Amino acid sequence: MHMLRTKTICWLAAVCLVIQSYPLEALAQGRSGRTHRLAEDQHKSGASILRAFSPVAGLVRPSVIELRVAGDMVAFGVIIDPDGLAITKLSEIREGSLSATLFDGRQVDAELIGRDDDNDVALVRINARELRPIEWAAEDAVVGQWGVTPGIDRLPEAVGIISVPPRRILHKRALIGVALNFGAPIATIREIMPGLGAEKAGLQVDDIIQFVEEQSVTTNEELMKALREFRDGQTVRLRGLRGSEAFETTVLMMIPPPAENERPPRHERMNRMGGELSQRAEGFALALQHDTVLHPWQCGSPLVNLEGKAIGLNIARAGRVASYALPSGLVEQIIANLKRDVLTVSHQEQAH
Amino acid sequence: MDLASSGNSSSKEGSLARCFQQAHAPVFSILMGWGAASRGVASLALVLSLGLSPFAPAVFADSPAPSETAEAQIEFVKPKLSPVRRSDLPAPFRQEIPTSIQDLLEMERHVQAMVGRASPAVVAVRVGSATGSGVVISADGYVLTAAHVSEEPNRTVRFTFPDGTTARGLTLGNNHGIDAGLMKITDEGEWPHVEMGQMDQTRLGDWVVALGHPGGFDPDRSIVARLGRVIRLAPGVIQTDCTLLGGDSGGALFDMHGRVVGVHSRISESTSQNYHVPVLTYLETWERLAQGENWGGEIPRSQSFVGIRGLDRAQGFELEIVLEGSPADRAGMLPGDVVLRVNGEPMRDYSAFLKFMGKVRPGDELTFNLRRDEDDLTVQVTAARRPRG
Repeated sequence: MHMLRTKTICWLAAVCLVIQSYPLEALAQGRSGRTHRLAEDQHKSGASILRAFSPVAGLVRPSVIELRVAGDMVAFGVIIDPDGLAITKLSEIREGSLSATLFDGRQVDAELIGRDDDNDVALVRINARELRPIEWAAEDAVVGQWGVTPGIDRLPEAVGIISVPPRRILHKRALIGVALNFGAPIATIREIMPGLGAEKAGLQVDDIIQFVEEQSVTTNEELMKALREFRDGQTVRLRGLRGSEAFETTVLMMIPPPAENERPPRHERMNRMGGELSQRAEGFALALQHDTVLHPWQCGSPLVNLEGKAIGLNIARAGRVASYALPSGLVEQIIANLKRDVLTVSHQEQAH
Repeated sequence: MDLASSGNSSSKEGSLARCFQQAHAPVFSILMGWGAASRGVASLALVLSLGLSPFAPAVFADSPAPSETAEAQIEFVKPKLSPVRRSDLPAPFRQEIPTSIQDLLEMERHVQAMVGRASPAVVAVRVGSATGSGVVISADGYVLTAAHVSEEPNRTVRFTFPDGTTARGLTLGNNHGIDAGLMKITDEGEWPHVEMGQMDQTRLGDWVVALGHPGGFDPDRSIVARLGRVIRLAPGVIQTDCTLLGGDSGGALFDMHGRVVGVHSRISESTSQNYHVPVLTYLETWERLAQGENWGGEIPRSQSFVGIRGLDRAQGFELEIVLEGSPADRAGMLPGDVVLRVNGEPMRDYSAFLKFMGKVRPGDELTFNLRRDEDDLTVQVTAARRPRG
């Protein structure tokens, strides 16, 4: 009897403990009482949490624009100059009439005037003056730090934390379209894959590759490493030996299209679980990784700290766990180069 | 989908088959879940006393004499359970939501420091051709991981710490039912480690940080930090909005005390569907794991399958996973559906379904009675032959 009572008390204690571990309001929210879930507005990027960040978004939104092509929003942009210069994610700006929407509702014409293909950044001129340029943070972002993605509204678009310090992101591997003879001590072609650049450029089985552009390569590994620097759509000049004859050719780098009905590999399917990814999500000189869940069209926006200073430019939605931002230091360099190029061009035009 | 990252990308069939195995691994009964939280203290005492038994080191060729190990284990278990109080946490973590920039700054400082402290103990693991993550919870190198990473006892493991240090070790026991696995570093050393948390303190809405190696170990990148909240607590599982990916499996979910409260296990479609094994289960079954027992997957596996995995509900079981392309998928079953009856037989819980499947032959017609939101549905599924692998 005594034992039974102890048991009962233990059981009651257990029940109390279990119930105690759920806040009451959560109990009330549980659908038909069977599960206990946190209300969606209280998720990390839920509306109630975003509200806490509204002072930051409010501070920065005059420096943010929405870019539209033929009326459809394609990306955000960041104002870098009071006289109407902004930067955005280049690959999202497709052909068509470009316009910008400002935080105060103004809609103005916009024009793409400069491009950095290497880092996928576009320089855009918008038809507006007396704008407030963004302030770039001087310090490097730290892992665990908040990263706020403001749009043109009072609430930020989304929030997250810095997941990984800046690093180089290699572009997706593009191929010249050969199989190498890995038994050979020097870079030798064993097979030509049909339909890719090597075939079109006339490369042949047993060709020996000695130079990739100006870089000398000896082994298969060195050749592969040198080719890794080139991305889809670029051309690469190869020199080498065909028999005893020297040859030179220019080869288009390509990403082979997937075979029909081929399912993407499992890790890629997983990476796409949770939303659409940016078309161009690889190949950046330097990018910090954060865990903000962004849509591809939310790129081109600034990633700001709690002071409202930009620690980066959101450049890609790269996977289920990863959004990339070019760090502020790199962005400032890119801006300087873009401005210089545009200035040089306009000087040349004046000279004519 | 489980989160193992297979090193052999061509073995599509193999990984798919593993998916199916996962789908049919039984989940823990409700007893092992939250109801068990209150038994934590008693179970801990059990862990302590059983830690003295000599069987734990039996699997290590180079382990020290049993008595030494026993002492080491007492030392290992005791300090891990020093009590923590919620009141020790900065105020914003104790509120329902942060409401000011000041709150956010306070959270930021705390998270940064916590990630810095916890990261050195989170390792990448390589077992055979699979890679995953793990977390070291004792100076002598016990590593919590997911059962689907270690798979079975006595396999060779290569551990890589975030600073690039590597170590060798072995897999120990696995509870496949809940996806809990244990490993041990066998190389000599004092390993960076973190403490395990007290699950009875974990609450809905708690802020948590996930650390691990999504996509597998990448020396140029190393460890990846993600912040989120506990958005669902259910028997045998913690759900958060810390996004996870293949390769994260076995990595750690930390509370704001910097303690491990969960181990990354699997994901579903939405970015808020990330599932972690509650750390309590490791404590409750410590001696079984440490002595290399492999269990939870041995319910006689039916030759037929429909491609679902469920979580127990008060009535029936809820579909947690419906495998793409499986008979259940083709019949239109969806994650979140609650299975009440199959061929008229009431399904008390998920293990009742597994038992039921033992009698089903490939080609059999099954009638599922489901509840989807407020609607009752009937779905016809033809059982298929379990894919090989």
